[in-house]
Amino acid sequence: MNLQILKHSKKKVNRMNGNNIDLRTHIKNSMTAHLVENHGLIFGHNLTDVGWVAGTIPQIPDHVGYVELPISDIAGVGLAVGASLAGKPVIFISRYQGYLWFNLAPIATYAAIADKVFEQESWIMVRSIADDGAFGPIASGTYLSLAAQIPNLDIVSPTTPEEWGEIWSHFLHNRKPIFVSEHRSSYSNLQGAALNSDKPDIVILSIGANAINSEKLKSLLFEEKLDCSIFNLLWIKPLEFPLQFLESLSEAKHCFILDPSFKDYGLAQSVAQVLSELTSVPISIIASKQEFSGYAKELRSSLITAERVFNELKRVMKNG
Amino acid sequence: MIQDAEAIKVLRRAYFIESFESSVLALEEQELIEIPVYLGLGQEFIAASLATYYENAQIAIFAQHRAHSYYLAFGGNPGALKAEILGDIQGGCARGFGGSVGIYSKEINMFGHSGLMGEQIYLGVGWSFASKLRSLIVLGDATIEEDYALPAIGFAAKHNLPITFVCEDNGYAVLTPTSKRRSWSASQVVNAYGVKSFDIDDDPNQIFKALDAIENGGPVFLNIRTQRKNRHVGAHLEGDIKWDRKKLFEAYVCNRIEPADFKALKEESESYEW
Repeated sequence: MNLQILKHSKKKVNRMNGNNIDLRTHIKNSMTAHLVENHGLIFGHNLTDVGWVAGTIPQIPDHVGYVELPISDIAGVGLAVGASLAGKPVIFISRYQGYLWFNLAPIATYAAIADKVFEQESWIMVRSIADDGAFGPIASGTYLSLAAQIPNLDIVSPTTPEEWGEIWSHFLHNRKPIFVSEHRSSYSNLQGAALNSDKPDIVILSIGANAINSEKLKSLLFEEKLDCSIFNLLWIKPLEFPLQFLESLSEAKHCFILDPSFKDYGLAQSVAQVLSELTSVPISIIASKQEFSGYAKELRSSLITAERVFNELKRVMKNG
Repeated sequence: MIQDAEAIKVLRRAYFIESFESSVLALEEQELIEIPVYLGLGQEFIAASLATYYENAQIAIFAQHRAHSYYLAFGGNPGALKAEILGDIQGGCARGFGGSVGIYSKEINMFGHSGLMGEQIYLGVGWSFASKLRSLIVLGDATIEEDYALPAIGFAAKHNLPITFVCEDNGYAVLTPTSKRRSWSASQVVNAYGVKSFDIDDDPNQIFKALDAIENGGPVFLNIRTQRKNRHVGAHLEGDIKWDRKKLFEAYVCNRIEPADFKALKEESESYEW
């Protein structure tokens, strides 16, 4: 498995955001600087339309840096990769992670390998937006595990303004492709889901931004006389466990990995395998069933909510 | 229209490519090459013409898997290409990653090809969009059928990008004739997208004439009928060769320069050592 573990991270969880500016606004501010100050390009479908990508790009109509692509899910990202070879910072926005089945071809076969194989920089950020809980198989799924198979592609999942800031700085200082998994439900986050307790019974590691309400989960568990710590896995590839997560794990009775994408053959299983070599604490995975979702309420992809995690935790811990 | 001095350059480049490719063919026939080799014997005059036409232009090359001729015509190092084909990680032009398929050179601004047929189209178009410079994008008559090819060409038309698309049309995808795969003409479809297109032979005169017709610096698509002596991969002979471009163009040049000069050109072509 091509996962690099950086166990000695100095990064802290529970980062504070003194400005009370949410993740959406932080992303938009970065996009504004990208266009106006860095003269970068933003490629995508229907960018300057309806919601301006859920309010994460600035409403600057006709800005020369906005590139409205033909509605072609392979050629479109391919054009963005081509532009990235010219030395300009390029952002490609994939509005739904379901499009990754198509979008990833030029990333996998060129952008990710360009520096190693062709000695060519491909300075591109793929902003891939998940929306599980929405309608249908394409718009609602999280397909992060697909991207994780691509060699030499950094994969991150920022859920807070602070985490976004770290990733944006990384992109500006490293002229290589980076895949950013975002989640629409995280855009209003001020601090994200991270919670750290001194001696947690349960440690939760969340992969890929999701919709969990950590305060609610903590209060539900408190009623069961259980304490928990919750961490977001920002650096998915190379795999970088937060230092406090590893410290908490040594005190815990059980570890749960949350992954909104498919469980079988997926990222959570890979992470669990790596983690199992570092700890003897039992590890369980809460992820999606490997099936496409539909439109009727009972057929939609299910959000990983506090209630869902709580019920699963109780079930697993009851069964030992 | 091609000038006499340019015609001589085209012929010289074509001789050079043919000589190199023949040396690779000999190695292939002796089974001294371990990797798949994509030879372009018979098609030399396309790359030779384009390199001569764009000799002093700032241009990027996005070729595909059959690109020895472009690498050589635009000034790539033949020793490094030979080393690459022989699997030499230290001396190969693509450090052993590219093989015959993915050759590249920063010196001549030639980008590598991963093996995904048609990727050079969206990459080259995107590169020209960002750089505002001309790219030469080489494809085959099968590549144009890739589902991502036409949207990228349409994007070039929409933004009037400085791109020269060259379709090397030998009428086959491996051994499947075009007529069995599609009922449309590449040049007509591309023209409908808004790109000026030409259906021509691999005659340097026709290639120069078409390139001269580019207006406003925008995109142009040359569908160039050509023939290849060897099959898709390796040394097998293709079979039915209908014309001999080398003989035809030699006759053209021979009639326009001094016999002694032509003799010197021929002697030079026989002097290459690989």
